Amino acid sequence: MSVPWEFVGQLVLYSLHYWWAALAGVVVGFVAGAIPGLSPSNTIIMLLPLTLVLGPDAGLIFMVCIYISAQVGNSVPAILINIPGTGGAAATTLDGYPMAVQGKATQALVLSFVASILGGVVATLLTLALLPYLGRMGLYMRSVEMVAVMMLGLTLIAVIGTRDILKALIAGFLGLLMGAIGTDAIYSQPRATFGFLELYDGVPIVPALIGLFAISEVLNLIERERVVQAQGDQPVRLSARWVDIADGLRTSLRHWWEIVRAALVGLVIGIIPGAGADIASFVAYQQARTFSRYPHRFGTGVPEGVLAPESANNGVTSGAMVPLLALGVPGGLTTAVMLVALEYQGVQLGPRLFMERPLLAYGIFVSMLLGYVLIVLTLLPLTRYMARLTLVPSRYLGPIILFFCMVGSFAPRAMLFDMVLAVVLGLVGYVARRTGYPVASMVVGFILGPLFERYLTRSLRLAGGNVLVLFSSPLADVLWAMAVLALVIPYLRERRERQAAATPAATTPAA
Amino acid sequence: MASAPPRPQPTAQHARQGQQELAGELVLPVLAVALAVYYFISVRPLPWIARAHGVVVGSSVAVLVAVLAGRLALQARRGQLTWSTARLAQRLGLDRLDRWLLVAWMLGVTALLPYAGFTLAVVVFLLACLWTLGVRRPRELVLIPVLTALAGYLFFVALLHVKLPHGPAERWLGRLLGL
Repeated sequence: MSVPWEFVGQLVLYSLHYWWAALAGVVVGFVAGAIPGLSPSNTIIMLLPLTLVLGPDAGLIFMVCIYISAQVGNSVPAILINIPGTGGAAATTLDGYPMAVQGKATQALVLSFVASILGGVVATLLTLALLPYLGRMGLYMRSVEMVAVMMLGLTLIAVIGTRDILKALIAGFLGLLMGAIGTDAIYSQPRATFGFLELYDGVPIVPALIGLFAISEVLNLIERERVVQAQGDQPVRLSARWVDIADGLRTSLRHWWEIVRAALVGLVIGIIPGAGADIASFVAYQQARTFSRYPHRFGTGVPEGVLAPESANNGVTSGAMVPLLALGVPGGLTTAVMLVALEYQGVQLGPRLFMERPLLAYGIFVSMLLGYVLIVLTLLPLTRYMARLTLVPSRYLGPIILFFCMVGSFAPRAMLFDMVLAVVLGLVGYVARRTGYPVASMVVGFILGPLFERYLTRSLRLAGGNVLVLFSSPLADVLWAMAVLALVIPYLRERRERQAAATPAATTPAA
Repeated sequence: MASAPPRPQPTAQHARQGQQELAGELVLPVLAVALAVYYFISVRPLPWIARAHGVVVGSSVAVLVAVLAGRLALQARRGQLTWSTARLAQRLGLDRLDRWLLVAWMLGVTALLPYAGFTLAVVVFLLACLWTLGVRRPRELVLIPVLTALAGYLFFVALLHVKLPHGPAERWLGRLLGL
């Protein structure tokens, strides 16, 4: 297949022509991603009048760059203060925050940025090359297959709790139960809403994440002087040197294959309508752990635990654009807002877009690449300064975080109820942390639970309640097998390592 | 009045012996079971398919908690479990007043917001939090809340038009900035 270089040149020139829109989008998106409660979709909705003024080309590039940059920015609070900026960074907290506590915040931020950028670039290039085929992929993923994909993510509940699997399962199933609160999608019957109208749409995800992660973390943090923990009598120091950025870059490049694999996971999940960065990042984390040589170290601050979710959540952004542009079907809230903005400007999305406006259709992906280049140039060098946040004394940092928590939990739905809910869930998260129940398991269950239920109910309805429908397609069976392997492989590997560790001790003669 | 016998205080010896306190192990499971029971009651009138997910999850919670109860019973038999609630209080940090004051301020600000508006409520909230956490320098107590609230107003209200509750400060700032 020959590459149409002339057309590629036109696409590059087209994107460069709108560099200013891409730069504005990158900056706005980064801030929106870094502030819990300001998701990319909310931000685009708020800036909708501006996108309409910019026109369809610059407007779409602006929105797309907000989208990709928000998936980079959301890791900053996840790593520095254990608060995911959006649900897509919830998995990043698992290893990112432990790295920050160990004084490796700069390296963790660089890992997350590089993984996001490389993952995004890989997914975007693949999307450009395979667009016609990828457009059809969403059609193969029906509700039956999606149940298996969700199960792949849910296995993480058990995996998180390697220290105490029973506690992890209880926390995870409590999360699943919390996710099931709300009106039933088919029969419109409220379930476990405690009589609150505000819970009829389910427990809102942003206040829940803020409560479980952020508020509970602040209640813990005030016992320490700052985020970074001192090592014995050594004074706390956090280097802000270029060499740390270089170190993070080297580590990222050493794990290039993990980044590519996670980007592929993100790309595929992004194409599926309804799935998104939240799921992709957990599935990618789980995959990275399954194939790791030291799975038991996950959760203590290993680079792969940051690289995989960050690469996947940016892989999702390219994937999510595929059904939007190729079929005119938005795969998530952010792309739905883009659809509204573009249709308002008279742009008809769908197969005809590629014939009628090829520069716009393909140019979007080249603009994504431009966005990633701009992130490298503008935001990557700033990681050494961002990391200093972990040195701010907790007596100042705690109240400021709580301020953002309050605004972040209120902003998405403009309900005071959500602020109270965040506080209540903050207390639940705090008790869970203090009594050894992993909050991360609870969050995995809470995020994936409602989606799992939706696909499960749909599958069962279509099959007249026959559970065997879940194993009725070859693709679903492969995914089920992967879910089982994801549980079994780390267990077998750890058992082998334990045996290997025990054997020399047994054979070594006593001194 | 005869004084009650002194409760056994948590000691380092407990930790060395690897003892777990029963109450701490059960807080979250009890919460999970309570939610599961409430969930079952609320979905009773629904058809099976609409209940399937919740019933499976709720039943799993019940089974898991039963397994945990069995494990705790075994630990109790081996003497690895303590019934002392004092250790739970210590583990949860119930003795630290500042933590619970922060929770009270968070709940308080939600009550204050509709009347005082976003900016004033944030100033009061941050001032209370900083004081609670031991900040005593007047300059810090004034500047941090006021500057944070102003920055929050400019970013969230003036720039992004987030629908935060308006009060006297927002009306005054709105007139000042011509918004």
